[in-house]
Amino acid sequence: MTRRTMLHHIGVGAATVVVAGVGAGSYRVFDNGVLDAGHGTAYDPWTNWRDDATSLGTVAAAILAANPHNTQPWTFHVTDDRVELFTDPARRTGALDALDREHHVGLGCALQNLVLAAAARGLQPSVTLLPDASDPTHVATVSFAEAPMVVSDLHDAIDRRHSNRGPYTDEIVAADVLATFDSLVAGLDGVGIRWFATPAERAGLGAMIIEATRAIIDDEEQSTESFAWIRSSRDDTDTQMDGLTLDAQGLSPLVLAAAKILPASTRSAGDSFWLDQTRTVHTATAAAYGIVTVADPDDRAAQLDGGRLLQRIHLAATVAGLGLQYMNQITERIDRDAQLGNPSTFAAAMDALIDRPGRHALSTFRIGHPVRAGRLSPRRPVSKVTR
Amino acid sequence: MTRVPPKLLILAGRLAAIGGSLGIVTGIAQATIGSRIPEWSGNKDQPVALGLLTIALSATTLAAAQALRRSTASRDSVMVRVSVWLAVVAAVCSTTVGRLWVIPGLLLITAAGTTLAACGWDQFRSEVTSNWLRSLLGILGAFELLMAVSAAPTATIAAGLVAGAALIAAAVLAGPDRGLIVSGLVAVTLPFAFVTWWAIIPPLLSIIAFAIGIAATRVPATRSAVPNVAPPDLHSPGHTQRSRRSAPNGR
Ligand SMILES: Cc1cc2nc3c(=O)[nH]c(=O)nc-3n(C[C@H](O)[C@H](O)[C@H](O)COP(=O)(O)O)c2cc1C
Repeated sequence: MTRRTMLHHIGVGAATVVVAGVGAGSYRVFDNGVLDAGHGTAYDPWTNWRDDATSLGTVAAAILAANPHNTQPWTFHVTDDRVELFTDPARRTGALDALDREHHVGLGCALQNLVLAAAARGLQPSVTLLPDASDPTHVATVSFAEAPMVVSDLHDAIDRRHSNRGPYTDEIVAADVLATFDSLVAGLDGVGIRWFATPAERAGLGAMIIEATRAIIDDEEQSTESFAWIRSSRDDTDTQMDGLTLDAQGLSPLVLAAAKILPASTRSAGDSFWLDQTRTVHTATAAAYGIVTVADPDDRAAQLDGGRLLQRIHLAATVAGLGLQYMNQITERIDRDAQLGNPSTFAAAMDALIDRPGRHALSTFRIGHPVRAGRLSPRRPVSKVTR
Repeated sequence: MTRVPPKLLILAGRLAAIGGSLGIVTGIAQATIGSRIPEWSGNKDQPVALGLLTIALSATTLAAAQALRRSTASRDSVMVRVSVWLAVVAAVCSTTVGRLWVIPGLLLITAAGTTLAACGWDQFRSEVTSNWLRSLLGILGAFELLMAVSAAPTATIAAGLVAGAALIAAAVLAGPDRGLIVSGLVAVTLPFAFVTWWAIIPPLLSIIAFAIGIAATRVPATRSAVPNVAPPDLHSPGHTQRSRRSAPNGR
């Protein structure tokens, strides 16, 4: 074999290996939906939510609400003049939400969207929380009376609201903007907001969130429960239509594509990634934190009203062009400690940070001017959540 | 002299014709009622675009079937390419119309296998090894098609399909005297690479296609490794045709 032939063979061999690599990559691009993020049946509810003008249409808006780990823990019973909202106990997150606090806060978020959508359809909503003392799964009934249509900015933002887990710019959120959010408590009983906007306040809360994240990762049951809701393949998203996707992690387009092309990460790799993002992106770029406070965080009605307030704030933030991400690691640890009978270190530290006698944290979020827009999360269609 | 094709090739041609016709029917079904039968049609986001693609690719297998029926001993290279093409269409369309593709896909794969059996493994190997770089270019085209069918919106799908088709055309045309045409065809992959730059693989594929395209037009194909043999008895079914010395790049 001459030197030239040998070089030729080496070149052809190298080209073959490279083409095989591109083939593997192309297959991942195809299989994991890299080129059509946010498209498909699992995302259709974001586009067709206004189509139905009847009471059933209010459910189409309700299912677009924020909810813990995108578990979509709801079932609706719909008639012409009312919608009854039930929990779906099969969609709890176990040790991660040890006392079902987030489960009910998420239902409150859905309730808020439902109410806004009813008003926009000329149905005056009247909400009764926990209407049946003998059935704790029946969390609310919304009765409708005919009324003029009221289409609010918050209503119109329903399909633009997304959890934004990406970086925020260093632009501050003006105090008067935060003050307008305070007025969103109108009509809700016993819920309030405590803002953490100064650098010292942010640093204190951010450090505690990182510590709580570590504690969750170290708690195998919590970590496993959280991992169960991660959807790292397109097939999983298409079939289950729930859970946390790579698309929703706020990554840059290039990093997102690489993450989808590479093999799915293990639980421990996912945990390290989450801790890293919490440290270097979520807490590092938060322009402000808000904590929804209540007198008794275990009270179901307070959880539902707190959820309604959170959803209003998130919608208002969307209208104002702000990004928002829930960051509930501390309260997840507070409830877990209570469940296990551990010393309530996080509860005491959080109360000290809030520094409002008689008020306790229900749910925490960060807010700021986002570097990039949040992306869609999958949703199960109305037909799958109504009975 | 035109020879009568062996029975195996006639059979392959019939299988390809039936597979291609059924493929067109599945494409029409996908484009028209695909969204209403998601469990059969693969629950695709772009049923119309994918249906049209299936129709177009299936139509090419009808042309391939025709080529098989008209084949002569001197066109072994054509048969090898037809066989590969049938397999590519069977593979690509398995991602476009869901379960509807099972029967056409099986027919086309069987047709590809039968064609291969008629040509003979040695002939296939010889064709592929003597046109390896061109084959790689065609394979890249198939990968491009695969990515295109999973894309959105429709304009991106269209750009990807054009890019994939262009690469396959470049693979067919590549030769020492065809540098410009091949470069032009490879350049057609750029719009798809541009609109999907962040997805890493499409731009990478374009760059590699350029490199391979240039190499394929510079390096004359090596001669067939298969020795010349006397013309086979083409009437005996299952007889393996042996290659004649093929022209550079199999043309
Ligand atoms: C009660 C509650 C708790 C949540 N906790 C977190 C959290 O700790 N971290 C986070 O990134 N998102 C959290 N989320 C956001 C959800 O994961 C998100 O709403 C869900 O995945 C749906 O996505 P979307 O908000 O973009 O529609 C929480 C949401 C709710 C309602």
